[in-house]
Amino acid sequence: MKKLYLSIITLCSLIFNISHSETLEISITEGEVRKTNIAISEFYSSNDKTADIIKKINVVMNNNLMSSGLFQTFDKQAFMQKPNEMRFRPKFADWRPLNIEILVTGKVILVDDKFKIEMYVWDIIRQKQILSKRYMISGNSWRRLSHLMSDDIYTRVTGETGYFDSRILFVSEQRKNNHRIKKIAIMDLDGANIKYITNGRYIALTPRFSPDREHIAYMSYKKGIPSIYLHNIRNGQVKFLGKFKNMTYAPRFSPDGKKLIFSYAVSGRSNIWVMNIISGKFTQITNNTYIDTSPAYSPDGKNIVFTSNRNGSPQIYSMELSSGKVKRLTIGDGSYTTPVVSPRGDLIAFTKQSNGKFYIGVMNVDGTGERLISNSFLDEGPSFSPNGRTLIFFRNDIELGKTKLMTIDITGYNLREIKTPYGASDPNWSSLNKR
Amino acid sequence: MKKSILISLVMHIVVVLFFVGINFIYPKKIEVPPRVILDVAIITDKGIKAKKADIKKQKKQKIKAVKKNIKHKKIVKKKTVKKKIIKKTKLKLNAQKKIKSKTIKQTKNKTISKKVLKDLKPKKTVVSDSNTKKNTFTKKKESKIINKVKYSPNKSKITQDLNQKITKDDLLILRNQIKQCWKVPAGITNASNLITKVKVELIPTGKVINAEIYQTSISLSNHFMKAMSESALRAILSDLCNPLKLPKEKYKQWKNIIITFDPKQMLN
Amino acid sequence: MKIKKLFSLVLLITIISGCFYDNVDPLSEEQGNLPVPKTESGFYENSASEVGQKFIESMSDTIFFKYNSEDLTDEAKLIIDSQIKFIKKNNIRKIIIEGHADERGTREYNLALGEKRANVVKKYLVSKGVNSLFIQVISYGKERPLVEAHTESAWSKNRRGVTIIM
Repeated sequence: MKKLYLSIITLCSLIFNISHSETLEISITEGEVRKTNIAISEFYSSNDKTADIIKKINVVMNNNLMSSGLFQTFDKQAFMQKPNEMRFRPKFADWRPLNIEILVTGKVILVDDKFKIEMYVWDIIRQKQILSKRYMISGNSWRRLSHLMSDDIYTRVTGETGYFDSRILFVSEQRKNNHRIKKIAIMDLDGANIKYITNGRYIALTPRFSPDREHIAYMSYKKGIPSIYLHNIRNGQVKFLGKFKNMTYAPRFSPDGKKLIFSYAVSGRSNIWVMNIISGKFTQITNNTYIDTSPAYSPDGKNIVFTSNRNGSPQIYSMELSSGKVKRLTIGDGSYTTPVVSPRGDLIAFTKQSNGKFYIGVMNVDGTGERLISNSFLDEGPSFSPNGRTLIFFRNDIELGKTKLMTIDITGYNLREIKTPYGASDPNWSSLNKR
Repeated sequence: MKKSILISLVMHIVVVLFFVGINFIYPKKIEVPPRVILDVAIITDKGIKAKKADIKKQKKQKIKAVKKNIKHKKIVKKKTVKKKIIKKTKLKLNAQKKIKSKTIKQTKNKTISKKVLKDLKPKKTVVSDSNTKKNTFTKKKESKIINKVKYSPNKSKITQDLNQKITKDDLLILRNQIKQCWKVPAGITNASNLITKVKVELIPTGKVINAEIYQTSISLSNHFMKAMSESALRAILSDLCNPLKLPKEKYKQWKNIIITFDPKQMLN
Repeated sequence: MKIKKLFSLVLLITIISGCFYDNVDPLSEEQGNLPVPKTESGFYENSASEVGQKFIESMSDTIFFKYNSEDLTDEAKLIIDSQIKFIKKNNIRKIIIEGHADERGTREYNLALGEKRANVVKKYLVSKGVNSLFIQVISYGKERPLVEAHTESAWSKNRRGVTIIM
């Protein structure tokens, strides 16, 4: 009996094993990481009145995705199908020879004085529609819409949150008779829509957005002694900070927007202070005879990073606000200043000076993994994009004799210039606009 | 009385299941001419090592033959299919006629087959079998067993593997092809943990007729995982990977493939 | 009496709360708190007082610093000594010290460095008997270089402390 059962079991297991080994298994561990090939077609419309807006939207979208460094866009001259031929569905076979992976098409319908826009994103190789979205805008919001649609495509294809629907705050620098006229300005991330906030009569520096983008804080010489100003962009109301008899500068908002952190320098000592914007109460954060400045909050609001020369040369330190415990983060050779924490909370970007050169660098929030991603005669003041993937900073181009705004991916790739009408410095990237 | 009826009933079911199973899994068992001599040699005490070398040689020769005579194989296939049908009916008839004697012999076949398998493994020997009863039996009825061994599933499996198995070279060609098609979109964050298993169904020309996500390392609700898994599907469906380069005569081995796309080594 | 008390209390509260904020129109022509003269190496807009002009004509109003340093060199001390003589002789009661840095540093850090430099000069003046209440300091960081060039020679001229006599 035992023999019988044993043989049955052996047999059954054999049969089972054999049937299971029917399917071949293979592992692919090599491939290519590369930009996604994307074709953005001009959207279709049966109404001539929309033609202008359609072209403009197309230009902004192509520019956005191309400048992100993650997409390769194509000239519409190479397209196999026209917008009206694709108003229901593209002919996938026509797009395959071009090696295009993603195709964007759409429709624009004029409804009274508003535009109803439908966007479709197609996966050419899988022959599927992977995204469709509908928007409604008034004529002068086409720019904002272009950025929103760019973000939607970006997210669908890479998985990452977008960053195109945001603004850059900066200092516009004009040269007049060997004088620098510095004005605070705001623009779209592609350099369009510039609006000036101050008139340039007095030097204004280091502006920062509030998390809700309603206020900006900056330092100005208007009162003679450098003072911090709080400016409501919506209603134009301006307030300046407290009755400090001495220099206050380097203002930044806390992540919840309720506090302002800044530096106060008196008698050769520069320390970090926090003000509760609503109550007006001040708290001193550091208290020593050294230079402590350029403070920045972590996204959770629990820690700050700042620059201090307490150990000789300027280095970056972090402080846990609840305990006041300070930890040194940078150990390399040279000076480390202007620390900022990524909105993702994973990296700190900074300016480094070493051997006569300036670098923009990133490191982990614990100070490890330092990577220098750009360098020149003068690169300074990085600020993170809302998705933490891109940095903006300013560069003094001594050959051209002007400062300009540069963007770069945190990996060090895709260095680009954002063109401004005059020189520009002290950039600050806003959070995403409210949807 | 009851006990014996029960035993015979169980054996009936076992036999039927056995043959049903065999038909589904081992049609090929009949395709290859049985290497009787080989197996007989293994059963004896002598020259196990020598036989191993022989097996290897024969394996190589077979592969060569397979590669050269594809057409011949196709013909053989057709023949063996016919043979299969004939043998199937024959076996069924046999089963119906001589149930009892067959069952006894079957059990003994199984033990022998087991032995054969054991003998192929380098460490085990025929002599090491503790069951003396079996040993004496095999020595006595060797000739009868030889014939029975012809139709045993295990023996067929051995010879089958030597002829039709997907080789490392086949896999290398396939891997080289697919890796050229796999384009991961730049921008996927923390991509090294995003592993996708794709199940593909192919027709004999190597063209994919069905590709679907079989498994992912994390949920597809994660946007990065979704993007990565879509890149895996695109790899299989792209022009450079359609059709896939696979040996047509081994189609049944690669009719269904599970492809694991693991980006870990690609990054950084 | 009660009403008066209440009224004065309300007035007091209003004044105190006003201390936290001052409403300012950024585009107004409002002047800064410090009416200041124009100087050779300083940048104040209004014309200098007569005595201020005399000061500039008779001696150096500027001392220079080493890179990333706020220490007074011996040469600097000699210059300041002669400034002190002038201040005491002419009974000057309003002095502004400007601190500047070169472009080889980041904006905010250089503002702090300029402030340190200006204070070092002030401390020296005070140590030599000048009333500290007469002295105000202001830092311009790297915003107002004397020489707009990118050479070591230019930088050495930009790392400076400027004494302004009002």
